[in-house]
Parts: sequence; structure tokens; C-alpha cells
Amino acid sequence: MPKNANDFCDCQSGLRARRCCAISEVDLAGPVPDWVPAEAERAAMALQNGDTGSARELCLAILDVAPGHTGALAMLAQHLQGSGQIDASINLLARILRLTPDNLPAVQQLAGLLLKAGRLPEAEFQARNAVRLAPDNATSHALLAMILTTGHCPHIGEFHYRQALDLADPDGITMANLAWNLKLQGRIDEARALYRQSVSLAPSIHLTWLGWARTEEAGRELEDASRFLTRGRRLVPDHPTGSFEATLLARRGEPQAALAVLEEAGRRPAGPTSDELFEKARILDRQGCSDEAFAAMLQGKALVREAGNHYAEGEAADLTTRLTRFFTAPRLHRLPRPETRATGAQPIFIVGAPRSGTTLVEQILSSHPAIAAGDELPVLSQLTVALPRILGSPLAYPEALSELWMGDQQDGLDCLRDEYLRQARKLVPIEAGNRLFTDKMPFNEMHLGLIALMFPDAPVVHVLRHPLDVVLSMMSVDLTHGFHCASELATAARHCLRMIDLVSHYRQQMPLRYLPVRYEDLLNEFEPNVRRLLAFLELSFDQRCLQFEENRRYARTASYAQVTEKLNTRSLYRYRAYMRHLEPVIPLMEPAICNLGYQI
Amino acid sequence: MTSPPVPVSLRDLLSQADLELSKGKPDAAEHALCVALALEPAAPEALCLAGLAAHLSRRPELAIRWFERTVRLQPDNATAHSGLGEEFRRAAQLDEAARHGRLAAIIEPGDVNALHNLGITSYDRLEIERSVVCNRRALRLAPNMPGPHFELAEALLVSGHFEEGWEEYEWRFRLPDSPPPIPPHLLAARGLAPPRQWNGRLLPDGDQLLLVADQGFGDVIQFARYLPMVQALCPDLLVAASAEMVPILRQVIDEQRIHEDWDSLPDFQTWCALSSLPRLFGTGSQGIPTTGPYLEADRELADWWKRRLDQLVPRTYRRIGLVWAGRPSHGNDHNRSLRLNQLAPLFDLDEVAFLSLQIGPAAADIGRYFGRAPLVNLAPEITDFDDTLAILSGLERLISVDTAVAHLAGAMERPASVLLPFAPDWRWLIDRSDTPWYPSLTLHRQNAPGDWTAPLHEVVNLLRTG
Repeated sequence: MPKNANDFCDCQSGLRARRCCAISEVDLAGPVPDWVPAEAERAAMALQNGDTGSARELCLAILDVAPGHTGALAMLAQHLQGSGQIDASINLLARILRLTPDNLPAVQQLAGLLLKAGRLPEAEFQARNAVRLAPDNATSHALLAMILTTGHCPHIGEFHYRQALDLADPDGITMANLAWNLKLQGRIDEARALYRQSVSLAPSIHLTWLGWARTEEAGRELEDASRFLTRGRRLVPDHPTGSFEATLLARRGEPQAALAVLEEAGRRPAGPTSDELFEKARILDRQGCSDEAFAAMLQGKALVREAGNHYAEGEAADLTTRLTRFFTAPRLHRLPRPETRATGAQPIFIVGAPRSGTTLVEQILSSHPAIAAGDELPVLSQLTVALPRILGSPLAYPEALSELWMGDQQDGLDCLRDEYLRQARKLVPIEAGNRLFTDKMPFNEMHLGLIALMFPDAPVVHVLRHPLDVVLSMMSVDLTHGFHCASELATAARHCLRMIDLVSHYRQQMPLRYLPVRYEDLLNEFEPNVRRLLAFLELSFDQRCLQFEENRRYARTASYAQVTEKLNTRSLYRYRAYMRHLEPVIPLMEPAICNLGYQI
Repeated sequence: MTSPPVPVSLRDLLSQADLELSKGKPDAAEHALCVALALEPAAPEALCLAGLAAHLSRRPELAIRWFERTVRLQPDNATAHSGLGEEFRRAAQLDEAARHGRLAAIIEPGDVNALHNLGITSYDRLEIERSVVCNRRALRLAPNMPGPHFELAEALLVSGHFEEGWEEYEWRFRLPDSPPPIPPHLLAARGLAPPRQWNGRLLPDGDQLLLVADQGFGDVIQFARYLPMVQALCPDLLVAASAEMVPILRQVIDEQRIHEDWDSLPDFQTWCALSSLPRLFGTGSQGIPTTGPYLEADRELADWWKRRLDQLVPRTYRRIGLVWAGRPSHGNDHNRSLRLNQLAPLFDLDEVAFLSLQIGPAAADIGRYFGRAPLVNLAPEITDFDDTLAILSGLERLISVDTAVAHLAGAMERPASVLLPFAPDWRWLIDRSDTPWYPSLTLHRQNAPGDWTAPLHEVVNLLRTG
């Protein structure tokens, strides 16, 4: 906010602050001068004629005297959106909705922009409003579907895509979007069929071809993936596809060609994307070029931070402290326990840092006929948001759990558990014979206390890996887990340490059905450890778990390609080649490394 | 007001330090010694006193340094050798401790403290006969000194010489810092007719006997077996015990008779410490009373814990209880307790789940446990010994150091392995893997001081074959 309300607003709308983000309700509802309608018409004409400059000037002039003029607000928002001023455009649309809450086009536009800005919870809020306003509007459903798909709820997204397709004539884009949604759910064959339909309806949309290519790659059809990638590139040669192209080449055993593609991509005027840099880093790492690989990782992480993704350390530290304070043995002693037994498939929580082997453990377990793979379920963290509402608490999580001491919340844990199961079962493809399903959201150990309260008998498998290998690996991919801690080496290390301390705290304060499994042990002594895992889950041994790479399931995480390979030990102690680069975090991590039973 | 005169001569400084030490003020003594050593850095007397001051302020490494400098300058300084003997004993360097202890006793055969210390060191080295000799020699010089009496009791009892052992054991209440079994104000309030100590005979009708559940929880559990025998002789029995012991004692005596609060005690004419009962009943020479299990779990609570354990560990896993440390304030805790990671050989067993009944600060070790076998921390949900009994009833076996939970398992006649230090507490005797006190316990002894390898190896084998 500028110091002087007469200065231009910081949101770059071009309006004075007192007419923009600092506007008062009184000003918003002020009288409109007589000349405004005519000027608004001129602005609309100018916009129609492509004279965006004049339209902008006219709108600014109108809004300076009539800040509540929705027509001018909409035109200026459209202009700002066109010139990339997303935040300003969002602000203006939000103002339109203050004035006219039922304005469907504004709601839809705002939802779309919020999605574009990565502000998913706000986007979902608006998109749900759009559906409420017009349940038979295909665009509203398509928007909500897109947002839910991006927000790790593809099952619900699928429902809304199908609604959209039902409400309007079949269109190639919605079909391709649904296909991508199905790919994210691991339903490769259905996705493939939809892509086929989509390109027959709209063959010139490059994103459709690229999505199809990625789907084929996920389905291990690398030839088709290359073919479709080429089709997409032919349509829009400038679209950055270097990362994917390189991934394909690397998977096909052509690392040099992959590097060449990435080199070329890096020569674009805009430079390489972070994904391309991470791909380059991974290929260089495999070739033993650790210095170059680490340089690419750093460059990639710098881009991630430039895009505004920084570790929300204050938030992480605050929540960790509050969890530590809440979950203490004397406080928990008088909490009620779930009164009823839950029915149906029950969760296994695979917790641990991202890149520690959680995907591998899930791939092994879900090869067992009794276990469905839930993948990275967002359900637990969503539940922590909904928890105060469910328990009728004025406090936030975890303090809201204090309601469980009240006489009218004695079944509170049953409600929370059932809500978790209700949401999880929407996302997990549970088949006949599945008694268990996995939830392997990394860093779910943050909520180990809540897990143990809701599911006192749910097995928790904590995957451990040498912490230096973990942070190194976190440097070579783009991850949002853990409050964006992976945007920098030091913050990744700090967050991992926070979680290690928190787990230690939980284990001191609560009885847990907890099994630590070392990634290194799993690789070095595979079968005994698979047997140990299954025995802990009270499942009989199944040979299929040893051939996990034949599990056709598509793991929807950064490790999806690794778990399609046979077991190899090249990922063990990779950090040793990077000691120089990891030096800044070693003093910080050393005590935890020793406590976990590792050495440096 | 005038300031006290500042002593400046070495002699005055040493006298001042000596005085402060005798008042139990090592900090003040160290201050004077600091000045003294600045005046004369190689004064053996000052160095020796500095060693004593460091010993009293619990800085063993510093004490060793001062004492060693003393004996370098004055090889026949018995106090310094004795001090070194004691410090090395506490640091579990028993060979060094014995060497210095013997030198001290040779240089100064009339030094009671040197003999007492050597007696303790000999016990720790499991040289029981030598310990007996040292303490008897000390007692010839100072017949009323409680320390050697108590040490003699331990040596006699551990080697099975019960009769004399129990008599000597009575000196425990006179040890410095030993709390009196009954608060003195309670006895004083009885004025001219203070209660008598019970002699173990039938009491006349109307006479009430107060039994005091003294010493640690383990002792109370072990000696609770005598309560029905006492009640047969003294029907009007009162028991004073801490609240924690109520779940135990109410299994052997009517709960109405148990009092947790000294001030609410009814009148009594006779009293006795629970730990004196073995003496009064002639334990040892007339056998040890074992009449089957005398503690059991509450059935409902045991069912509750069984269901809880079914949630926490796979049903097919063997359930083994674990306690690796005792109360840290126990004098011998450094010998009897382990760190959790020292139990590593146990944790490679397949399909075994360890249930930790560890309480107190040592339970924090669980946060750093990442062994292969699951280890579940039950302590957060253990409220009292009723819970512990209920848990024990559902376990295949308990593995414990010498602490109260081991006694509970013994009193319930549940299988348990007790890990014992090289020189164990007297009750575990020597050279045997069983104990006449508890038929269900197996003892696993260190075969060298501080080395847990052998006993752990035995336990692993037992679990493998069991």
C-alpha cells in the first residue's frame, strides 16, 4: 500500500490507491457523474476496435470518479489480464463481486485467474460459487474440474469434467483435460482413448498432443510418446518441452541427446525452465558430473524462488511448535477414543521426507492384492483445515482438538476418521479384495498425532533415508511439499530436521503403531525387508511384491519413472559426490544424521 | 560493622578450606584453595584438599587431576589414594580403583574411610570375601560407623550369609542422608511412650502395628509377600505407603489398612519397616517364602490392555516388554541402567514387537530408536502399577534391568529376564541364573564390569530358542 492514498496503487492497476485497493465502502457506492455512461460506451467501442490503450485510459478516468462502475471495472480487468497484470485483474474482479455477487462471468473469470496465479483454495471457492450460481453451465463445471485436478483431487475433478461434457457439445479441449485428469488417476488406457477422441475433434491443439505424449510416457509407451511430442512441437515450436523431451531420451538410454535438447532449450531468449534444469541435473548426476549437476540444481531452484515459491518457515515453525505443545501425554490422557470401528478398506500411512523412498514402498505394498495405492492423498491436510468446523471449535488445528474434552464431542474422533475415510475413498481406486490402502503424502509425519488419535491401529511406515541423500534429491526436483521447503538447500534441511524432531516428540508422547524402514536396508536386503513390511501389516507374503516394477500402476509422483525400473543401488549414498556442495548444511544436520543411525 | 580478617598464610587458608569442607561447602573451600595454590602451587596438602572439594562438588575429572598431582608429589598420601580409589570406582575403572584403594589402606592402616572405600570397590569387583574383610577391619576401628556395617550387610547377603547379613542390614537407617522410616515428629508426638520397634512376635490383643513400606518400589513389591504372615501375628495392622504402592499392597492386605498420609494415621504401639521383615522371619536360614504368585492383574484392565496392544502391534508378533533404566536418583543407577541403543542385539529379531514399559527420562530414548523390530512406547498411557500389571499379564516375557517392573513380573510369576550388573544388588545373590525370591525370573549377569555383551547375548538366544 503506498503511503499516500493519492499515489498509484501498488497492485499496478493504474488507479490511485484510494480508488483501488484502499477504497472505502462509501466511495464505492458514491454518485456517478452524468458523463460516465457515454464514456463507458466509448471505452467499450475502443476495446472492440482493438484500441486497448484508449480503452484503458477511458476506464481509468471513469473509475477515478465512479469506482463502483462494474462495466469499467470489467473492461480494465480484461485489459490488465491481457497485459499479464494478473494480481491487479484479480483485485478488480473481486471488487465487481463485492458490488454484484451473482455476476457469473466475473466469478468464472476470477476463478480462472486465481488458478493461473496458483491460489488454489481461493480459486476453488470461486469455482464452487460459479457452479452454485449456474449448475447447468459447462464452463463453471470445467473450471471447477480444472482446479480440483490441479489441487490433487482428480476424482472429484473427473465428476465435473463429465458434467461439463454432458452440458455442452463435445469439445476437444474439455476431453483432453479429462484425459489428463484420468492420467493423473493412473487410468492410462481410458486417458488414451479420450485423447484419441479429442484429437479427432480438435487436432490442432498442441497441449493435447503434449498431454497425450506424457500419458504414453507414464504408460511406458516411449515410442508413441515421442511421436506425439513431435506432433505437438510442430504445432507450437516455441512451447518449452525440453524437459519432457530430455526425460524421454534419457529413459530411452540417450543421455547425450537429452543433454543436447536441454542445451538448445537453454538458448531460448527466456532461458531454460526450472524443469529443464532439474532434468539436466539428474542426467548429469547419472553421468557422474556432480559439480555441473549441482550448478543446474541451484539454477533451477533460483527460478523456483523467482516464481514466488519460498519456504513458509514462520508458518512451518509455528505449526510445529503448536503441535509439540498440544500433543503431550498428560493432555492426551483424557481424550476419548474412537467409539466405533470403521468398516471398509483402512489406511496405511507411509510417511517420510519426499525423495526418501516412499513411492518405492508404496509400489511394493500395492503389488499385494490386499492393498490399494492411494498415492499422495491431500486428505489429511484438508482435514486439518476442516477440523475446527467439524468439531465446532473457535480454535485452529491442533488446538481445536480440545473440543474432544467436551461432553458433546465424545464422538469427535469418529467424525474426523469417517470424514478422512469418506474423502480418501473418493480418491483411491479400491478394488475387490483391497483391505488396506496407502496414503503416502510426504511429510504426513507432521500429523502423526492426529493419525494415531483417529486410527489407533493404523500402521505407520516411516521411510528413512540418509538425510544428506534426501536433501540432495530434493534439490533435483521441483517440490511443493513441506511449505515449499525444497526451494533452497538450507530450508530443505531445516524442514527435514523439524520433522525428525517432531516424530521423536510424538513417539515420546504417544503409543504408535510405527515401523521405521530404511531405504538403504530395502535396497541392500530386499526380500527380508519386504517380508518384514508385510508381516507388520499382518499380511501374508506375496511374491508379486518382489516384482514391484511389474506393477503397472502409474505412481503420480516425482519418482514415477524410478519405480518402473528394477531395483538398483545407484541412488545409495549419492551425497558423497556432493560433499562440497552440501557442506553448508552438514553441521546443522550432523546430530540428526547420527541419531538416525547414519554416518557422514 | 567490620569485615572478617582475611587469612593470608598457607596454613590459615588450608584450615579455612578444611573447615568449609567439613561444613559441606566445597565452593567456599575451593575459593580458599585457589588462593592457597596461587601462593604455593605444589603444596600437597592444598592439592589433596582441592581434590576433596572437587569430589564433593561432583566434578570427578577435576578431583582425579588434583589427587594425581598430590600423589606425584607425595606418594604416601593415603587420603589422595583413597580419593582416587573412590573416583575411579565411580568411573567404573575398577582395577585402578582397587590399586589406589589398596595403597591407601597399606599406607594408612588405621584410616577407616580408606578401608570402607576399598570394601565398596571390592564388592564392585565381586571380590566379596575381600569386601567382608575390609569392612570388618573398618568396624574394628570404628564400631559405630554405619557405612561399613551396611556394606558388610550387602556383602554377607549377596553371598548367602543371611543371619548376620540381616542384622547388619539394620544399620541402613543410620546411614548419612538416609531418611528415617517414620518422621521424627510422629514419634515425638507420642511423648513418653514412643512406639516400640516390633520384634516379630505375636502382639497382644488391641496393640496396633504400623508397617512402613520403606525404600524403593522394588523392595516394597519384594517384601509385600510377608504381609499375610505379619497379619497372622498382628491382626490389627496398619501400613504406611506412598500412593504408588497402593495397587500392590491392596492385593495382599485389606485396602482400609493402607495409609498414604502420615498425619491421618491412627494410633499405633509398635512399628516395623517392611524391609526388616526378612530378618524378623528368619529368611534364608529358614528359606524364602514363595507361595506362588502374590500379585495379579485386574481382569478387566488386562482385557483393555490386550485390545490396546492388538491395535499397536501385529497379532502374530511375539510381545516382549522392555525396561532398560531404573530411577536415575538410585545410587547404583549408573551400573544397573543401560541406554536403549545398547540393547541393539535384541532389535534384529523378526516378528518380535517390544513394548516399552520404561518411564522417566530414559523413555526419551524411544524418540531416537530406529531398530528393525517395532518398539511401542506404552508409558504415556500407563497411569499406575495396575496398568503395569495388566500389561505384563499379556506379554510373552519381560526384559528388564534391576528395577520395580522386574519385581512385578516376579511377583506375578510371569517370565522375565533380568539384566544384572557385574556386582548386583544383594538380593540377586551370585553365580546363579535363577533366584529363590521369584521362580519365573531368569538372571543374566555381566561377566565383566560395565560390559552388557554377555547378558544380552544370553537374552537374544533365549528369545531365539523360546
